[in-house]
Parts: sequence; structure tokens; C-alpha cells
Amino acid sequence: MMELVAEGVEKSYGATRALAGLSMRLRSGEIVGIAGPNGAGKSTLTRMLAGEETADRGEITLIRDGQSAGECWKHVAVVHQEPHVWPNITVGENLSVGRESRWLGKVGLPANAETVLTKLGIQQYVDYQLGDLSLAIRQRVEIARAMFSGADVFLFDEPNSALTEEESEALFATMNELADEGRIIVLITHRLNDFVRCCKRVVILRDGLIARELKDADITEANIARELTAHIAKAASNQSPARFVGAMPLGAPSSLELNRWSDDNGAFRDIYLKLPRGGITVLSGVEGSGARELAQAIGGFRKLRSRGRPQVTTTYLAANRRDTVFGNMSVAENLVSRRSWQELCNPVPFLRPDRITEAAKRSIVRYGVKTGSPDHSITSLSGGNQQKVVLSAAMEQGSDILVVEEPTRGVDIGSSRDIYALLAEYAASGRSVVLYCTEPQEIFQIASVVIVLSRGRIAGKIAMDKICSVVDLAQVLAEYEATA
Amino acid sequence: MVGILGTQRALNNLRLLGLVLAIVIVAVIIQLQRSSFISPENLTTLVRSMVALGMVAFAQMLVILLGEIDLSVGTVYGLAGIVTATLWLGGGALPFTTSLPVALAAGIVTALTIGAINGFLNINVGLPSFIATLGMLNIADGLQLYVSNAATFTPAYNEPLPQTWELAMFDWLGARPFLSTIPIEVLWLVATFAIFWVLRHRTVFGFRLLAMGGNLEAARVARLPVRKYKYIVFLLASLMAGLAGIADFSYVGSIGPSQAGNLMFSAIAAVVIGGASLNGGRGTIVGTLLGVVLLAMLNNGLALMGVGSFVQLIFIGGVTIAAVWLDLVSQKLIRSAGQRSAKAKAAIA
Repeated sequence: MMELVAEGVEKSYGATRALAGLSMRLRSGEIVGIAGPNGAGKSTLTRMLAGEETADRGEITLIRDGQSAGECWKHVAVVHQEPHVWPNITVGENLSVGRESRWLGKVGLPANAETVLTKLGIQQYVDYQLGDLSLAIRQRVEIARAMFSGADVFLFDEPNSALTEEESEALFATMNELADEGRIIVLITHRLNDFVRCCKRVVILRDGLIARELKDADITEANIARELTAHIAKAASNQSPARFVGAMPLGAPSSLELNRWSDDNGAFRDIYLKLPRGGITVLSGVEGSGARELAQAIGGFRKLRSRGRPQVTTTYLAANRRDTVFGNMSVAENLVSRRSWQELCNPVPFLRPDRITEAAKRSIVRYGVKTGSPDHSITSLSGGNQQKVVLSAAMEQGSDILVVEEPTRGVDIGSSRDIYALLAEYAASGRSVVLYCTEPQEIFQIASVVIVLSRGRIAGKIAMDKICSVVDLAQVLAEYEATA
Repeated sequence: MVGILGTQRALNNLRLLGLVLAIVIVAVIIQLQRSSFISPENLTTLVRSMVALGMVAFAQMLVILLGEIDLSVGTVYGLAGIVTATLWLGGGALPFTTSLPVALAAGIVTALTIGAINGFLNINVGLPSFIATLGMLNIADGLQLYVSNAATFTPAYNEPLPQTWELAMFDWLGARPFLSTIPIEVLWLVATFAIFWVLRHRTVFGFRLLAMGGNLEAARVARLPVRKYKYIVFLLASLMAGLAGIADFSYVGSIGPSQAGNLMFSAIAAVVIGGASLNGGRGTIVGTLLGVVLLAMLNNGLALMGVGSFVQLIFIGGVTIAAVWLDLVSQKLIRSAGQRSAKAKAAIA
């Protein structure tokens, strides 16, 4: 029997109070979910558990059989969204790093590596270079490393934000096994459904404190969502969330017709599709279905087999914020990063700082970015606001087609709504928006038309006017996704 | 493809094989042009010319494996020899002289000091290694000119003549022939190759360097001794440069401030031709050795053909670029083969 006890933990960064005397108890054998809007103190808590930060006041202790187990972080393993492993060596070698058996001679597999790998279902990849394997496998390697280190506490930080449905399912199974073996499992995620699926207890953080604790039957998406947005909107969502765009018939006038598009690498083939003007087209499908790749191809960032791309302007935003945000620049610089030199320089070819600030200020107001000043570093903003910044920079280009992959990855519910509204507004101006996303809830709120891909082909087209609830949509999506 | 050949390791070996093939082709071309290329005398010259380059390149490979670089090795090579020569023979800016063993120790300590400063600037101060070692390149260069008064030192004709036992010991450091005409300096190369191969491929030290170069953040999270290992690597790079300088001093029989030539660039080129990535996380000792062989052979062959040192430089620059481009292409092929095979495996399972 183990217990992780946090008592009165406080932590401040300058004037910001990230944790304000947080207390909680986690018992072995249970999976505890930690939810909270951006800035509630989740990441500070994570870092503290992992020993990367120390508390200003208060203490976190691990109690095993009634006794403190020494420094807590030594028993905590964090499974990151981006696994901390080594892409340049093999899976087997990854397991050995830091626990090599002897100093001289070939570095072999650690003892009982086979058992652990088999348990995680990755034994067939022992000799593969990790960089060539999928994210799900890289994550499993990190879990394997944690299991070797004899960790008692497993902290999963947004573990499945980039995994397919099947891979997530397998991950949850692994988490359950770990819990059954008597370990303490903590899950932090933005996907509310995951809490419902794995947790017996969900702790809601707000302003550095535990605002509420949900148990067993109380854990529903609606309940958690209500807790998370309680401080933003009193008008909470009812059974069906609000929709941001009108549904469109499948034959609406289009800005681009895809005529037998095939991917150069074979991710999708023979795609015929019309992107309606004034609507939001959502491409959906499990990872590997070709939906993500099709979105990239429409955005112009993937090679097609056939030559000759039609003459429309496109703007593309990748899923990973690391590929969209210029982390070294300010909010203002990010906002104008896609503008032409004429806009920033005319009439002489030199940068005009006044114009940059002016344009940035206009964007900040228009797109509702929350920042202290346009000169602040973009990395000082929350994930949701960073996404708004890149989205507004992209929208200011005014292209015929705007392509966004996973528009709300790692964004809290409040900001997600703002982003939906912005996307809907963009489409309403008579242009086309193409999104890649897989969350039924999200699709329900923003899609005019849904295209589901499976195995590189279009498995189904859904006209949203026929869909009345998220549950209906989820069913239809699941049916199409399973199409062989 | 991986299915047939085993793992990617096999494909990486295939790439090394390609390098061997390139070396053979170059050798055949040179041999067809100049029949004296493959003769005992010329082969001895060729191997001898690889000694300093190899010693410096093996250590540089470890630095590059970490994703860092050491630009100061060329001038450290000169400084170690100059400090040794000045202390032993006098005639420079130093007001006293010592016996050869003390002078040698001083030369090596000087090299190690520069390595330690490189490490300190990079690890503790947080400068990029490019800048830190670029600064040390100039400092070491200035020091060797200052200490030597820009003079050239020749023990055998020095005034006063060193003691006989000192001259004999000096001879043993590099010039003395063993097995008829092969200079003993070649043993330095053999020994360094063996030591660095074991260090890189058969010790936990080398394994962890590989990990640190692949993902430094993960290495920190795994609580690997990152700082200690980095220090050791910078110290090794300087130490090997210093030893190479002293060995060459003995072989050549004299030393002046510009003895190193473009040693630093050649060493980095050899490492990169040998398949190391400047971003870190990739690089082998055998590959580096093959890079050294290719460069030394080109230099030797072009000199035999008498194209002149200007054309030689142009040629070697071109070969470096071409070799690295080929590496890029083959690496891409290896990666995609690995990915395809992993996908195929996932489909079966």
C-alpha cells in the first residue's frame, strides 16, 4: 500500500501564483485524473512531482507501508507527450541508457527486458532504430524505461494527444495493468473522454488549488466540462454543445475541386472532393487513414502524384505548435510573420516598427488574443492564446483556402470556443476552411461537411444537417472509420 | 530491404562499404596514373601522413557525436609542440629551460588546460562550443607565436646541443624507425585507433555519449552525467591534439608556428566524411578512419601527380562536399527502408 501525499504545496513565479497551497492524497492501485484549464497549475505540479521544481512551501511525500520513501521524485516516472527517448539508437539500446550492466564490452539488453517488451507488445522492434518507429511505440519505450527504473508513481502527461484510437486503447490497458500491480497512476489530459474511460477519481485544479473532486458515476464529459469552464461561462452547455457554422449541402459551390488526387507516398489515392465556399470541411479518420495527409496536400505541403495544382491560394497550419510558433519572437512579430514586405516596409524597403506594432495591435483586438503587451515573448502566452496568434497570422493572409491540422490540440475549452468562432467567421466571408480533426465533439461544433477517410480512400461524406447530436455523429464516424 | 539484410545496422555497414569502395576506386585511379603509388616507400609515407590527422579526428568525432565542435585543435597541436620545444631548447620568450621529460609534461599540461577552458566556457559559462573554441583557436595561436618568438626549433642543430639521452628519447617519440623503415609514430595511430574504438563502441562512456548526442534533454531526465562527460570529451580532444603535435615534432625533427596547416579543417572533414552528423548522435570510429584514409590518400596521390597544392585544396574541398551529400542521400534511403520495414511489421502484428 502506497500513498502519495501533497500537503499545502505552494509555488510562485514572480507575481504569478501557480500553486496556492494544494493538498491531495493519491493511493496505489487507482488512476487519478487531473484536469484544469490552462494556467491552473497542472504543469507546475507535474514538474514538481518529477523533481524539476521545488516547492516554495509545503511538501510532497511518498509513503510506503506507513514510512516515507525518501525523495519523492526518485520514485516518479513521467511519460511525456513527446517521449524523452533517443531516436538515434535502437529500442533495445534505449532501454539500457543509464542502467548499463558493465563498463566495458558491448551494451546488451538489461535483464528481463524481453518480459517487459513483450508485455508492452514491442518486442519485435528491439533492433529497430527508434527514430523510424511511430510515436506510440516511442511512448511505450518510455513506459518500459519507467518500469525498469522501478518507479512507483507513473505520471502520464497528455499521453495520447497524438495517438490513434487503437493506440490510445492499448495505452489505457497498459495504465490499468500498472495500476493493478499496485502503482499510483496520474493522468493529465485535455481529452475529457479519456477521464471517463479510465479514471475512478478526477481532481479539478483551478487557480492552483483543487476546486472539485469527481468520483465514479459523477465523471462524465459534461460534468468535467462544466467544472473547467465554470469560471468562464455561466451559461454552461446543455446536452448538445453549440454549433458555430451552418451545415451545408454536399453540392454547394466550391472553391477547389480535387480531381483524382493521389499522394506521392501512397497515403491516399483517387480522391474526388469539392471544398465548399463559405463552409468548413472537416477531414477525419484514424491515424494512417490518409486524412491528415490529405489536409497537408490541400495545404500544399505534400507531394501529389499528378502534376498541376489548381490556381488557388492556400494557407496551412501544422498540428504541432512547434511547427507553427516562432518561439524566439514576440507576440507582435509572430502576428505579422506571414505578411508581405510591402505591408511592413513601403515605400522604402526597410522594416517599419511602427507598422508592425500597429498591425499587431489591430490583430490582438480583432482576434481576442490575451497578452500583456504585443512585445511580450510568445512563449509567455498560454497554449490557447499562442494558437490564436498563429491562427490570426494565417487568417490575415486571406487565402482562398485555410487548412488547419488539429486546431485545438492542447488548448483549453474556453480558447477552443474562441477558435471555433474565428474559423466560422473566416468561412463565412466566402472562403473555404479545411480542418483535420478526429474528436466528435469538436467536429459537431464546427463542421459544415465531414469527409471520413479510411485506408487512403473516402469512406463517407456526412452532411451535417442530418446530424442532431454528438452521439449520432460519433456513431456515423465510427462506422465510416471502420470501413475496409 | 531490411528484411533481407537484417537490421539497419547492416545498412549502415553497407554505407561504410561504399566509403571503402570509393577509397579503392581513388586508389586504382591514382595507381593507373602513377605506378609509384603502391610501393613500400610511398605507402609508408601515406600511413605516416595519417597519424596526426587520425589522432585529432578520432577525438574530434567524440566531440561531434555530442553535437559540439572543437575548432581549437589545430593550434593546440602547434602550441603543445612549441611549448615543449621552447622549454627544452630555449630561444623563445621563456627565460629558462628544462630537461625534455619536464618540457613534454608542460606541453601536455598546456593542451589539457586549453581543453579544460573549452569545457568550462561551454559547460559552465554556457557559450556555444563553436564560439568558445574559436576564441581558444586564436588564443592558442597567439600564445604559440608569443612563446616561440615565431622561431623554428630544430633539436638536432640546436645551440647548445641537447644531451644525447634527450635526443634519443626525442627520437623514440616518433621518428625512430621500427620494422625496417616504418617510423614509430605510426604506432601512435594504431594505438589511438584501438583505444578510441573501444571507448566509443565497447564502453558505457561511448554509449552514453551517443545517447546524449541523440537527445540531450532525455539524457538529463535520465540523469546521465552530462557535464562530466562533456568535460572529458573536450579534454580528450585537446590532449590528442597536443600528443599529435609532439609526435609530429619528433618525426619532422623541427617545429615552427605554422606546422599544423589546415589540420583542424581536415579533421572535421574526415569525421563528417566518415558519416558523423554535426547535429550529434551519429558517428563511428571506423567511419572516421576511412575518412582519414580517403583524405590522406587524395593528398598523397595529388602530390604524386604534381598538380600543385592549390589544385589539391580545390579538389579536397569538392570531395568533402560530395561525400557528405552522398551520406545525406544514403541516410535518407536507410531511414525510409527502416520505416517501411517497421510498418510492414506492424501490419503483420
